[in-house]
Amino acid sequence: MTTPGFFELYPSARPALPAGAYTATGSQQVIAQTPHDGPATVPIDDTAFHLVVDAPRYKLPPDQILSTFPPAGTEGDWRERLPQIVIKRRTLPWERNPAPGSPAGQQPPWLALVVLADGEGTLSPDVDPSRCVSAGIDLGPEADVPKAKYLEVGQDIVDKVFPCRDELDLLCHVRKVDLRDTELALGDDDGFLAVVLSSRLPQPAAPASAGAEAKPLKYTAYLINLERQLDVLLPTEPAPSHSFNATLTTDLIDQQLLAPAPDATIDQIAMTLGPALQIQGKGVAKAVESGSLVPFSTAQGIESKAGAWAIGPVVNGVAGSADFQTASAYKAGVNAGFAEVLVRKLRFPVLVSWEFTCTGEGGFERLMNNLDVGLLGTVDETTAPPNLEVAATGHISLAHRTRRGEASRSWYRGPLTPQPTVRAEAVQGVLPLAHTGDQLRKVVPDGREDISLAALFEIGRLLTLNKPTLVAQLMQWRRELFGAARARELADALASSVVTGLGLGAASGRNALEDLVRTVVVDAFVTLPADALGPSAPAVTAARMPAELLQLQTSDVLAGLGLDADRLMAITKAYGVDGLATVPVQTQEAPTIPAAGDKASLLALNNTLGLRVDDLVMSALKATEAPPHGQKPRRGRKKDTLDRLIGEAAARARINGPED
Amino acid sequence: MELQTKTYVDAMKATVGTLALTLTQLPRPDGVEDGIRPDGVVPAEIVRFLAQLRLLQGVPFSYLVPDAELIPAETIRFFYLDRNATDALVEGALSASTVNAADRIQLAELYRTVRDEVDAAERLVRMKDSDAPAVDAEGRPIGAGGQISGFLLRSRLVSGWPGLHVRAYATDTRPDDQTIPDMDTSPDRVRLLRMERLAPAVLLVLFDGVPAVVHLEEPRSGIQFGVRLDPGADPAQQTAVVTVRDVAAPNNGPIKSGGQDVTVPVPFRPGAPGVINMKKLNQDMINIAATNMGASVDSAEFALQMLRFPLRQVFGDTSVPATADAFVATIKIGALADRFQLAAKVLGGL
Repeated sequence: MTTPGFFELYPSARPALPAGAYTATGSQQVIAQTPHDGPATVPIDDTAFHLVVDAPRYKLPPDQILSTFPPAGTEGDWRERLPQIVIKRRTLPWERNPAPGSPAGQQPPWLALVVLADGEGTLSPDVDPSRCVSAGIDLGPEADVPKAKYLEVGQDIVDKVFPCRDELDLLCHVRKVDLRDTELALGDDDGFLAVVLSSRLPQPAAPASAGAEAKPLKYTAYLINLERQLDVLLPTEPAPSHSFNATLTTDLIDQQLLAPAPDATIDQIAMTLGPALQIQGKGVAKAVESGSLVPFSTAQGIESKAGAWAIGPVVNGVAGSADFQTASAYKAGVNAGFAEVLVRKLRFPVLVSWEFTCTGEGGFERLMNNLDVGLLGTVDETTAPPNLEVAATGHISLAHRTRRGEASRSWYRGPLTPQPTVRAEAVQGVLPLAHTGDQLRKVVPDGREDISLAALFEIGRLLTLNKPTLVAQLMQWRRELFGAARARELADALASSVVTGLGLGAASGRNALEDLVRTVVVDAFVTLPADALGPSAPAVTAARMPAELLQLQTSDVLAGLGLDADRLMAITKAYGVDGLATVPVQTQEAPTIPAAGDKASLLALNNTLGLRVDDLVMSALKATEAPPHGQKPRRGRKKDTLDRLIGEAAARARINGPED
Repeated sequence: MELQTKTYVDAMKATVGTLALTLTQLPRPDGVEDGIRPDGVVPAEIVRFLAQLRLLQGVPFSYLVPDAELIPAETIRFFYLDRNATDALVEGALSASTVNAADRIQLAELYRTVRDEVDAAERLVRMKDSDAPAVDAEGRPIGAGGQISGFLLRSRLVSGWPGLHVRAYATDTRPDDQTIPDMDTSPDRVRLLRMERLAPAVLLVLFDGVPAVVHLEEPRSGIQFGVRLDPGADPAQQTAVVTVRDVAAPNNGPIKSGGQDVTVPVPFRPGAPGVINMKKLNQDMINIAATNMGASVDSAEFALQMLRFPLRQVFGDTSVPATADAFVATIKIGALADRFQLAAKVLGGL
């Protein structure tokens, strides 16, 4: 296990058996010791075992790719960084031998990462593997995919951009990382990774004019198979130079490869009508319509005319000029046999490719170091007037049209300030709360208004009103505010500050009184010690019936119901239990006056309730003295739901009840 | 009665504890990932909105930075968050819940509780369940936050490096270029309350506290290799160098000579912009004896020389002692009354 935060580098990880078909032959020699003729060899056929060591050849399985740099599809300044691909299988770059005959342990890797700008080569997908290599090369039938991709480039590109043979070794290495380092291991199983580097630093296209920003240039990185094509690479670079010309990055691009398809239908092309006229001649098959796609004319030197023609507006009839056609074909390097002689085309199987764009925005480090660091409110004094009026506190002066239409200037500062501020705290125990934005307007000593807080108040309000759900929730909460307040009041009355906290805590449950009662008061009683409030009933009793009932005889019950016991006996005997239904039981009409109609009882009930509540409050507050005798009991509480219910019932009774 | 009241109070105390515990253990509504507690005095949904408002979510940018001149291109601007301003935002939001004077009185009474709850919640908006301990590693309670600070970065760094790492620490004890193994779990780490791209090239970051040091790091796309281009060179003759290390002691950093990093000029292939001659570069490195590379070709040693680490930009101490906000005009009620009386006298005299 590597130390956390560290990783180890190895030059290579060569498999014991490179990929390929093998035959293991087992032979044995049996010598028979015959008594007369002496030892004799018994002929036995050799046994051959065929085995194939498999390895990716035309396609890198996606699960083998751990990461790529630059990340696929990204845009950035990668000028100083070498593109690379990290592969999970550490032996992969050495699993095939591109140079048969090289001494063991010194075979170069068969993989190379080449980075080409758009137009320096073409990628063709979905091709039979046998056609994915240059003409005349045969990789044999072993293929891991039915269809493969290949990269077609000219020999000039290979000579300029592809790694040289003596560099291949330097471009692959093995890395061992700490598996717990999620950023590097990324879920690898053994922590050993193979890395293939490219030797090309991607560069952006040169700026359109001197001093301007470099133009983004799109690159594609190809991981290619070099099997049997090692000899097309330069053996070594003979004349290295310690500088390169960053303004010529697009020089290798073949504009013909970038040209869009002609704006013509199949019919027009077949009939050479309309826009298809320009594509008559084979050599101009991909005429470019406008010069805007060509940041740099690649048609410099001898072919300036043809190049200019190829990218310029198309003139009907010019296609007929044999001179132009030849020149264009020369430049295009395609189709015309003449051109093919000049530039040899090579194909390499592509295991994986990804695109990225290199910009000239300046690297991370340069941008970071050039950042202007300061506190908010720092203003560049050197800019041309009018300069922003900034106070030391971060307030800035803004034009302000007042409500009366006067143009004035006011101070404003957002929530971001260049210095710590002191938060407004409670004044005499009350935390100030503004209800309208105007309450937060201030006039500062210079006579101007400071509308910072008022403006922020308004935006807070508007943001809230922007969300109907939230407004609904606020409204619901507002209705329940009353419940919360009442719970708090009750809690205050009940006991000391601890219980006040409880009141709030309880109110916070659902903000409703019934929840308070349910979750707090009932729970509290449940958790009370057994005899805190008085003797409790035994948990289990033998019989729950009063003794009087237990002694009651059947005849007594029947007599109480006004029935004749003997008659009932007879009926039961004759008809069974069903017979009981025939026995009538005397009943009496219930009183029709509601209890609430009894005004005297109601009053008494009300008074008792009031007294009891006061009692509770008194005892809770430890107020020992009772109200002076003879005075009306003090009602310490506002009317609550019970009061209201009783009151309503009483009112109903007055309307409906009898005149008593 | 006395005794029973005490028993009752004790029981109530116990109940409060149970209740508080139960409240924290209630299941979260689906899809909510922050650490905001379920309903307190203020319903959780409202607290969540108010806490997000405190972190300036949804506040139009022109309210944060009223003039573009305050953040020119390629600048980083640090700031403190003005509590009074965020309180004003919250008050504005709360004002949508009141209709009449009675509501306002109720709300004013409750406001302290509301403010405390939002104070506690604003630290939890960005916090997932897993990292919302009651106390942090140092035993500091997670509760109402203190001063909030942050920065606005307007730069191509924001658009070009979307995975920019921002880390802040309460103490500045580490060397700027040191590897910090516990960079995410360090007790000194100042949490981010908010990190958001407000525009493709504008990044807003809020810290839960005032950090002593802020690290901005290049995104870590694995280990990278590269060279240093000479930024001042003529583009037509662009040069580059590589700093070299001692492969026998790679962790000692670049080899120094006379206080300067030893560098090797990078050889390129003529006519092929950006294509490095790796063989020659390797040979040049071998030729420097201090690298201890040996004569043989070794891609591991070569890779070691070419390593480029993600850059870390360190922003140092930004703390300023808290002072009263000198700008806000305050006048005592008594003084104001005196003035009015004086004015009345003068007017009366006329």
